[in-house]
Amino acid sequence: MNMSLAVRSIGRRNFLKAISGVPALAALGTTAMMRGPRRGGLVRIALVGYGMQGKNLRSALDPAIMELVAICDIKPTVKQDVASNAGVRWYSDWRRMMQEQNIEAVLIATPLCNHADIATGCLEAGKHAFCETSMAMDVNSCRQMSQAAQKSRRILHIGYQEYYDPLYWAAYHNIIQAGLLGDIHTVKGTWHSYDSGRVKNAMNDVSFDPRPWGYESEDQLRNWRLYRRYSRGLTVEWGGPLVSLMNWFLGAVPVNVQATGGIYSYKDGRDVNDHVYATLDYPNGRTATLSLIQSNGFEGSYTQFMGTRGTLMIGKDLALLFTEAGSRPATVAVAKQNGSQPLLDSSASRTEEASNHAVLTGGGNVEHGGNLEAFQEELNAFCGAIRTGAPLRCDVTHAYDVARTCFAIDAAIEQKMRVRLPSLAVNNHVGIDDMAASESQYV
Amino acid sequence: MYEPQGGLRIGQRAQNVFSRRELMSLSSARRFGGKSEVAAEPWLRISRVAMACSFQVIVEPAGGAGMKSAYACLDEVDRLESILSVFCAKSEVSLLNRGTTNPFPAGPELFELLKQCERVYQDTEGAFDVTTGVLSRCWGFQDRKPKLPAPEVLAATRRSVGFHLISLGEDRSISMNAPGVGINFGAIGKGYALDRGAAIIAAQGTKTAMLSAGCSSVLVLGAGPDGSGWLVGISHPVFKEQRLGTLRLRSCGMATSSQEEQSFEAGGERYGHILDPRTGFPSRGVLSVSVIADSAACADALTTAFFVGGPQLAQRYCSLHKGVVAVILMAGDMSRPVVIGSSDHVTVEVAHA
Repeated sequence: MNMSLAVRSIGRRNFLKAISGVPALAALGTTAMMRGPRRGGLVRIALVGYGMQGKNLRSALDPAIMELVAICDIKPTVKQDVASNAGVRWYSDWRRMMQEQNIEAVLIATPLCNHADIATGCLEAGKHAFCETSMAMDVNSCRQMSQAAQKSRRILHIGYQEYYDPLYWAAYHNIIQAGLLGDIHTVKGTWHSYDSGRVKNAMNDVSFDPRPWGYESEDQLRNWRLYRRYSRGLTVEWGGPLVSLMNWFLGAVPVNVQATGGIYSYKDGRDVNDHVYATLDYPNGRTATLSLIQSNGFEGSYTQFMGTRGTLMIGKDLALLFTEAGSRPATVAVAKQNGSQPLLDSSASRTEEASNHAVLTGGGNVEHGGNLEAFQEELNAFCGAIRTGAPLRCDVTHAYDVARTCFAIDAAIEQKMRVRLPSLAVNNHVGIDDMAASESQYV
Repeated sequence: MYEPQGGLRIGQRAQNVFSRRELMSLSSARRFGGKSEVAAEPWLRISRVAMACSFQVIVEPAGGAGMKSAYACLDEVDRLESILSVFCAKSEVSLLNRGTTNPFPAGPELFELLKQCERVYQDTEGAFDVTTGVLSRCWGFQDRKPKLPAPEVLAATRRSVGFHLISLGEDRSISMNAPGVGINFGAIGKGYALDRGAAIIAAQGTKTAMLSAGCSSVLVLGAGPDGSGWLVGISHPVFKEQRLGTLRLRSCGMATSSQEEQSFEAGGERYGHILDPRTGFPSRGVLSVSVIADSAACADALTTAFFVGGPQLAQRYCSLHKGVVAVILMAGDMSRPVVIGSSDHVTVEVAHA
C-alpha cells in the first residue's frame, strides 16, 4: 500500500482512531427529507425498551413525520420520565400496549432475548415493527418473526443503521459499486475495546425487582449483553454490524466460517465470550477476518475492504481510501452542511495539521449508541415505507443472513470445527423458511 | 456594495444563507408522498495533503464519476507540487533557483505560472512579487523561526528581490539577471494548482464543484447544488468565532490572507509574514484581505498584493480590472471590512462585529 510520510507519521493507532471517531459535517444532499404531515398523517409510534438505544430512537423521531404515543418499559423509573410528556402513555407490559388501536408501529429496543416475541406480537396485532439489531436469539426465532411479517402483511425492519448513514451509503455507491477498489479478495473487520462492557452504576430505583420479567437480578438486566440467556454477546451485538457491512458491500453471504474465542479477560460471571476471532469465506475467493476483543482498544472499530486497485477503510463518519495505482491516499467523507453555515470558512493558509483539525471538528452527532442522523434517516424511511410502500434499503433477509452468520461463528467456537452455511441469495424477500431448513445443526 | 449589517457570529444563521432543508431539496431526495424512492447521493469531500496543507474537493458523486474526477484533480496537484515547490529538491523551481543553468529551459507549467506572476507584478505596481522568497528566508519565516534580521543582511538580501531581475524568453527560457535571485510560489502556487485541478474536473464533465487548499485558496466551478452560488465564509482574523462576512460564489476563484497565523513580536512590535518587496519589511496596517477573481491563482496573488498595497492599491487595481472584488479589514477598524470592486460572480454579505 502506498502511504505518504504524513500519514505514516500519524501512527497507526491515532490513524485508526481518527477514522472511527471523526464526525462528518451535515450532508449536502441526503435522503428522506419528508416534511410535515402527508397522506395518512403522522405515523403513530410506540416504543418498547427505554434504555440507551430506546432514548436514542426517541431523540431521532421527527415530529413532522411521526408522533410518539406510548412507551413501554419494565422499569418504574421510566414511568416518571414519561409522565412529564403530555400525550405519551406508559406501559410496563408490551402485550397490553399492543391492544391499543391508536398505535400503528412499534420501535423495539429491548434486550435481544425479547425481540422475537415482541416483534411477532406486534405484527400479529397488525402493527409495523422496527426492531433494533440483531434480529433474534436463534434461527427459529428469526423465522418466527419473518413468518409473522409475511402473514400480517406488515413491515418488519431490522435496524442495520449503516444503510442509512450517508457516509456508508456514499461509500457503497461511489467506491464499492463504482469499482474503485477493483476485485476485493480481503476484508478485515475489527471491534476492539478495553472496556469490560459491564455497566456499573446502580439503577435509580434500587427497589425494582426484575425477576417477574425474566431477569434473575438487577445486574443481569443492566448487563444483559453479558449473559447468554438474554443475548448472544460479543459475536452478535458487536460483530453483527461488521458482518452486516461485509455482507452488504460484498453482496454475498459467507459459505464457511471458522472461529475461536473465549472468556479470557473478564472472569466476572459473564457467560459470553470477551474475545472472538473469525474467518469468513465468501464465494469467489473472498475472505474476511473478524476480530472482536475487549482487552485492548488498539485500532478501534472499522472495516477494511482491500481490492486489487485500492483499499477502503471505513468507520463511523469518515472513510479513507488508498489506491494501489500510484496515486496517493485521499480521505473521503460526506460533504456536509453544518446547519445553515457555509461549507468553508476562508482564512489565512493553514498548515496540514491545522487544516485537518478544522475538518475534523466540523460537527456531527456521533454518540456511543449510533449516529443520530442515520437514526433519523432510517426512522423516516420506515415511516415512508408505512405510508407509501417505498422499499427499505435493508430487508429482513439481510438481517437474517447476518444473524445466521453470527450464529455460525458461535457454533464454530463451541464445536471447534469449520461450519458451513447453506448457500443463500441475498436480497431474496421470500423463502427464509426454505433457507433455514438445513441450518438447525449449528444454532 | 458595502452595507454594514449585524455581526455574524459563527454558528449563527446569516440572512440569505442556505437552510439545511433548502440544501436537501436541491437533491433528488425521495418524497414522502411519492410512490417510488429515488435515493439521493450525499456530496463527497475528497481531501489529500499537498503543498503543506489540505487540498479538498467537494463534488457530486455522479455514480463514481465525481470521485474519479476528484482523484484526477488531486493527482494533478501532486504533479504540480513536484514541479513548483521549493521544498522539493528536484522540482523545476528548485533547479531554477540553484542557478547552475542560466538561462533555464522551463517546462510549460513553470513558464505559464511565471508569466501570470509577471502580469500581476506589473499590474500591482510590484506589490506582488514571487522573488520575495529570499526576504522570507532572511526574516526566518520560511523555516518558521522568525526573527528580526540585521540591517546589513536585509539590505544585501533586498538586492536580490524584484521581478525585474527575471527575464522570460520567447523560447520559454528563464534568465536570472542578478546573483541570489530566487522564486517562491508560496503566494500563488496553491491557487494555480486549484485552477489546473478544476480544469481537469471540468474536462471530465463535472459542472459544479468546490475546491480548496488550506482554507486560504478556493475555486468554485459552477454555482453550487442549487445554482444560487457556493456559500463561503470569511473568518475574522482576530475574533476567531466571528465571520467578517459570507460570499456566494459562482465560477470564480477566491483567496484570503492574514498575518495572524504567522507573526512574531520583537521590541514591542508585531511583525507578520507578508513582506513588502519594495521595503523588505512586513507590511503594516492591514489585518485581512480576501479577493474574488476569475481564477484562484489571480485571487491568491492579489491578496498578497493588496495586503502590501492596502485599500489604495486595491481601488486602483479594481478600477482597471472589472470582476475583481476585495474585502479588506484594516487594523484601525476591526469591526468593518471595506469592500472594493464588483463582480457578477459573487454576492458579498458583510458583517461588522
